[in-house]
Amino acid sequence: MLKMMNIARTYQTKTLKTYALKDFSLDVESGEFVAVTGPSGSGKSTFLNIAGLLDNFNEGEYWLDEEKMQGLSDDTLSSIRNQKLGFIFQSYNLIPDFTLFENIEMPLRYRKMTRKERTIRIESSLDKVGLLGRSNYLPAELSGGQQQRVAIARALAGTPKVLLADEPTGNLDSLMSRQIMEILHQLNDDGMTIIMVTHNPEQAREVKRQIQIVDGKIMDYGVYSPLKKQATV
Amino acid sequence: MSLLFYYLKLSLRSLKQTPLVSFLTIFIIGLGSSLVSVNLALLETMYSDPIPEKSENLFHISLNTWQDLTPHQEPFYILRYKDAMKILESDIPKYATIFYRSHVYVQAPKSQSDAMHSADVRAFSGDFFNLTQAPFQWGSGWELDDNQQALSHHEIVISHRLNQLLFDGENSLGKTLTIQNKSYSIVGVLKKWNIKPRFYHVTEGQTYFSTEDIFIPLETAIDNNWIVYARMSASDHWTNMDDTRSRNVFYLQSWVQLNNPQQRQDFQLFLDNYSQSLKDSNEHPLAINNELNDVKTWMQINNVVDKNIEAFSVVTLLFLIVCLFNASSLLLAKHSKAQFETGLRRALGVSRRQLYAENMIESVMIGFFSGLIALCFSVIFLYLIENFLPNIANIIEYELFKLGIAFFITLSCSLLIAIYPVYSTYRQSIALQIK
Repeated sequence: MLKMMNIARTYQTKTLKTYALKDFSLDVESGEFVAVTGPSGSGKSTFLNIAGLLDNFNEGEYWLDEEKMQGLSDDTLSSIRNQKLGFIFQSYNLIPDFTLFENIEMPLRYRKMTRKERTIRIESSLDKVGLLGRSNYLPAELSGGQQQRVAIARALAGTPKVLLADEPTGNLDSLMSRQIMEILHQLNDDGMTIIMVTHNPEQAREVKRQIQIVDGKIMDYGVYSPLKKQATV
Repeated sequence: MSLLFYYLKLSLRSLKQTPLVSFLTIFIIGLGSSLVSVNLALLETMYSDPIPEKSENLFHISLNTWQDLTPHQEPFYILRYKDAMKILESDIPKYATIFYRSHVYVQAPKSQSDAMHSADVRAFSGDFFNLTQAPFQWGSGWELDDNQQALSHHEIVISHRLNQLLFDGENSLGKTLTIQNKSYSIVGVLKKWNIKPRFYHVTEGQTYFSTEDIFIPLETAIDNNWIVYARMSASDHWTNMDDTRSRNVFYLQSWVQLNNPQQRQDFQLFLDNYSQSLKDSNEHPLAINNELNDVKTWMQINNVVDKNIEAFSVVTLLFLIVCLFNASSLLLAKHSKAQFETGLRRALGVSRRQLYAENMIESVMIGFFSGLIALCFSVIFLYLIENFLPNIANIIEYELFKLGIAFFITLSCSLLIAIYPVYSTYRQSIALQIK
């Protein structure tokens, strides 16, 4: 599903060239749930940005859903982000003056989709995260955990191939974190490929595969184990 | 179509989100572009050809017939009665006219009040109406041969404005007007006619005066001592207008229509021969120097395009540029503030092209509102011009076409100012924007 080969991402100043990622290779199969851990500044976010086509890389190759992600136009990259990738951010990133419906609808507006079709998808995704009936609420009227569930619903409404989560429980208390993790596990059980960056070792341990990044390189590739979750729960 | 409505919705939301910045941007563009539009409208009228069908065939006559060696001007653009009459005698021009400007007070018809109305007058002889293509609503003017009849019958032609004022716009043919205690019969009523620049009288700063309210045969005006409201020069003593027929009093202007170069050459020869014959009989000592200037040349000679307005236009253009820089800075600040949301939307799959389109809609919206502000300012500026610059107050008529131009300028400005802020926002990497 997602394949990176010898990826390098550098930041160049006049005198200094810094590697955020170096010789970075990773292969994620369809249906995997991968937890990416590592210390601050290790390159986790850079990896996730490249995986999500939010940032460029300088060397290597990146394949997503068997399509090479190089030399593509902004239009094509946007279309891939819109249709194949789903994002969950640490601080939810909902537009404050949009209702929940409008927040979830926004990425769908740019697809050739009828209003009826959009509405069905939005209600279905809100239902999955337990917020059906609140589509006219504003984000500020919800708790942090509920807002993150809306963010998940927004990602789900686009029926992505891969869900990229950047510390999705970083701003939540343990109870709400648990609820979010349960939703993510449920999605994975339904076949969704998920890559999650996290600082929380317990959350990392409960997913099928963990990888650890240190100084821009993968130190531990982890092992894909379909049974891991069942064993740890 | 659905996406277009979505863009409109987002654009309105964006304007509402930053009301002060949006208002200032709209206000600044409106102010700058209205100033430029009003000035361009002024210049456009000043540079325009008032009678394009035949401006190359109409010629103003200046003669060199002053009686001594101290002429005010060589050749002189105003003529003596007898010189002017000589011009009318020629059969070379298709049309010829001589005239002067006067002013009277007209008494309203008896059915109305005793109020007196101020009215500008063009007293002329010859083919003034044919030469200037004055449009008639009712009746007609009088031909050269009819001048004598018009004189004896005290006939006049009135303007559309005066007809509206005195007769509520109804057909007033055959009705009479009382002017200076005498009755004058109306034989013609003009349609709306406000020729700009008023090419046939561009001297003495009268270029942009309205066309006259009353047209009367020259002889009638002279007989009734209607005073000249334009330049007069005399080397003889005179007491009333009747004296001007026989004395050295210069006050008449003359225009002729010469349809081809041969006619022009013949008429120039006619003038030069006439001038030479006067010189031969010791009526003037000056060189033979008579001029025929076509409409455009005559307007150039008389500086119809006001240099002050030209200079002011450059200033307004610079002012607009400053306004645009300011508006662009405001938009840049607005885009910087909205950078996170822009990044988020890009992350969720909105392409740069779609965001550009969305911003274009917003710019069009800003342009539309700026256009409304520009209209308000234009009305204010026109009011100021009318009250503080009476010499050019008659120039501007805000026609639909000019309104369109003003809107086009405003719209272009609003699109122009968005280029840099939008470009600078969208060239950044998404990762940085949502960090």
